[in-house]
Amino acid sequence: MTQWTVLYRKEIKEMVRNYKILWIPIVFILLGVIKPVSSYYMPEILDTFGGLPEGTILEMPTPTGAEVLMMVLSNYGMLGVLILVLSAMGVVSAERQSGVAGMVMIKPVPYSSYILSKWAGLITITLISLFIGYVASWYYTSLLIETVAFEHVFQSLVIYSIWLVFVVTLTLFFSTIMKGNGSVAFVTIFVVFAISTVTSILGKYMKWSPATMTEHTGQVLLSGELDSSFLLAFITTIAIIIVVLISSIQIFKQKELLE
Amino acid sequence: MNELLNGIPWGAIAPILVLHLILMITALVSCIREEKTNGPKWLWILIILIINLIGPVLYFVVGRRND
Repeated sequence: MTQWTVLYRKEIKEMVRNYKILWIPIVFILLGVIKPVSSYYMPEILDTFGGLPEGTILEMPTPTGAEVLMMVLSNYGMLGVLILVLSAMGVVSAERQSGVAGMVMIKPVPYSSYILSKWAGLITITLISLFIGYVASWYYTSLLIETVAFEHVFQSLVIYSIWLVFVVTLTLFFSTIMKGNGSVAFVTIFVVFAISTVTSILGKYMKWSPATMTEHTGQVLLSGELDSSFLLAFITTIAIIIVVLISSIQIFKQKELLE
Repeated sequence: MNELLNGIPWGAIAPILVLHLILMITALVSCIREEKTNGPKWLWILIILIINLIGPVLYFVVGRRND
């Protein structure tokens, strides 16, 4: 346990040193804030730069606060996921290639502590970024468009964070089994989008899929009520996360540390 | 022009500009202090300064050597 704490502290220190702890939350805030601001100013932006002919009447319904927050989350689902995966891609593979992992594992450190400290570090930065960004976006939405009940926002935040934890766990897994940062990022993003696409096409048969978390967040935001299939999806997602973590540890044990 | 400037609600916009600035400065500081970047350093400095939001992010993801 103490070894785990030391390793975890090293992870945090490293994120401070390479500014991840600063730039990822800032990018999440900016991604979250752009949507409410741009949907509030859309009529004026069109007025000034649109070059519409005189007398055109454009009826643009202002989206409700919940809709804006849904758009923000779908933004996080694309660009946010991309940034998280790209920033986490080298978490194990780069350390193995540079020999740091070998240096750590020479000491009697359990393999599980190593992987779990990496995982905890990734989860920390992911949740901090999502929380700060989403709260900022909620603040701007309340300021410019309309207030959305905080319970709904909080619930949707919790459900959405499960999906991001799933994505980050997958990144860690592929970073353990593959060499080369680029291929890790490519495969992870491919798998994540494949899961989302298959889930949205075969919606009826995929009620257990982790990707339904994004639909559940939308529902909570709009109506404040959870679908009955949420529990099933929640259990499978947690189960998949645990299985992926355990197999990452097992595979990491069998890998050569220095290549 | 003045009317346009006065119409902007600075209370809402200023934090966004400040965040952009912080992101840019962090990337610049990191880039200058780094011994070696992936690719020429002056190019990264230009990219960070010119391309808004995406420039610093690109630098942090691709330009830094993480070792």
